[in-house]
Amino acid sequence: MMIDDNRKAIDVQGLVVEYHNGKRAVDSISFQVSYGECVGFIGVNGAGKSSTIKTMLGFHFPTQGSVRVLGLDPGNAESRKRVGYLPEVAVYYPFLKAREILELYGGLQGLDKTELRKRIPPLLEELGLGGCEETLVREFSKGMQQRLGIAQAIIAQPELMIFDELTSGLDPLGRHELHQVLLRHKSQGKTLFFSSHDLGDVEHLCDRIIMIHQGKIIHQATIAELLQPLSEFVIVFELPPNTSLPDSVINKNPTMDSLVPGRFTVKTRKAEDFAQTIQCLSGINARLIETGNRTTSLEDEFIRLVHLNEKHKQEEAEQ
Amino acid sequence: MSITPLKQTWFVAKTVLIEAIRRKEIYIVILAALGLSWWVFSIDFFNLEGISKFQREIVLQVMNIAVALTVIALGACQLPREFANKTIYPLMAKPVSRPTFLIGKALGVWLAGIFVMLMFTIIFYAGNWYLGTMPNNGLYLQHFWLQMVQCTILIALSFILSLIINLDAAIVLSFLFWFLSGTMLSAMTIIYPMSGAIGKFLMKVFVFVLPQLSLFDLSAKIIHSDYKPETNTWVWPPLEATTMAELTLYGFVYTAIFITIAYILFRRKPL
Repeated sequence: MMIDDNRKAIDVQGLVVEYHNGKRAVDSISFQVSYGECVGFIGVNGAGKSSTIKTMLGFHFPTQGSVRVLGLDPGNAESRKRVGYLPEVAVYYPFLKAREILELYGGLQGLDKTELRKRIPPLLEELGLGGCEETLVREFSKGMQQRLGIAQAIIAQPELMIFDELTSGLDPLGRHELHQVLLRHKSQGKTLFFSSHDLGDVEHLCDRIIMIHQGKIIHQATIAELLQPLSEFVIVFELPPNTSLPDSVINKNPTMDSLVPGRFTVKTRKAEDFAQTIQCLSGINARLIETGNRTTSLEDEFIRLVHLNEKHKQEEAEQ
Repeated sequence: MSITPLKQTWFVAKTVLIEAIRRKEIYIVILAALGLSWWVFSIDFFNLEGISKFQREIVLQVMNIAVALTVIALGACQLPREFANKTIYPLMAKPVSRPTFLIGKALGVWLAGIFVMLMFTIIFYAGNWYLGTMPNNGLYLQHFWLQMVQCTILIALSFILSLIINLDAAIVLSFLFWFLSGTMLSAMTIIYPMSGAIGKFLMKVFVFVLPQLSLFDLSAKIIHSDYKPETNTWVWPPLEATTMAELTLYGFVYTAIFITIAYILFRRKPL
């Protein structure tokens, strides 16, 4: 299939990243991010997120495969002019003032002094750093450094924002403020690609997520696709003595309670299956203990997928 | 929104300079040199004549050592500190090429070296005023410039070493190079006639391959350049302009070679 990478903000094909010690950080991954899309890149520590992001910025070189950012090579100055990047650990020159930091990074992206003077105060204000323009960065807390990091990434109003560990070090208020800023950029058609350990960020901001584990992509889906099946109906019931489960209930794979004899749980994602099971159980005079709708969190789904992936790997190794 | 590499170089250099000036390390060197100079200038060996020459020579040597040490230490820590603090990531994510980054860093350290040398110049002239002597200003200006040319070589060398060995070793080796380069040449002029063919060859390699930093030191000329009021001249007049140009070119050629080597090492280094 021919892919027109000019229409993709990020195009990663068969990317392999190996370190000098032979360790494979990224193992043949492929994905694309369209213009205007907001994509969350999630995975456990050491999954390969930062290595992928660093390759996208030209900090690492692909061992195999290709990476195109805004239709250009990752290290290309033209692409970097249009990209805003927040590193995993945001540490800035401690003896520079917040204003000087933004003048440096904004200046490097081509903003002139007049433009910088116009942009810096409202940007710092927006990120909760109003009044800190003349404060040395060494006096900043971790959260303030993260906010400053976001400010340097977006000061030139880039088309594509790549954030590694988006809300690291931010308190709930800072997180909320950042969400508002990013949602505003998203509404302006900017492309956002970020990694985060906080799946709340992902759920709140993203159109799509990419899950990576041990250097491989284990799942890609839109948030709607992912969250829709995470909602399920649950029926907990007890059978009357000397009654067996009807076939229509057995088909729903009920699980037997190990502590209470004769107590079962049925889980189903379809509303009609739920209604049908209730009807069937009332027909045999089963005692309903609990009925309702449970929503599994994105975090639970992520953990389930990671465990499933590890189980598959283990099975493959045993074979 | 367009920016020239020259402007980017200046942005990087300015950051290095501001950081160097706001950090305390540089002032420790200046204060130590100031203390030592004050002590040397205050020595009075039973009103011995000519003692001021000895005093001024020591102060100039202290200045030379302190400037070399400052630029070596600052130069050697630039790249490792960028990596350790991870400040290199947001910087290199901007449209800055690696040569621009390296040259900007070198320029920043060099400007910090000029700042230190200016501080020492104030100390040196204040000491001269205290002793009632006056150095040959033209010669001192040439010494200032040649020391700065020497600094460009030391900065580029410390960049190379900091990319291949750890920070402490890079500082020690760079300083050792500066020290040996300044003393070996005079030692070799004595040893050379007594050496065998291999020894002579090695010494020729040393002289022609490595930069001879003693060429950039006019301290002795400054100290011994007495003013002759009867002829309104100095014992040692300032160097010819062509000599200065040749020395500058000689220094910058080595700097260019060393910076190129540093760039080759840094070019494909994963960040």
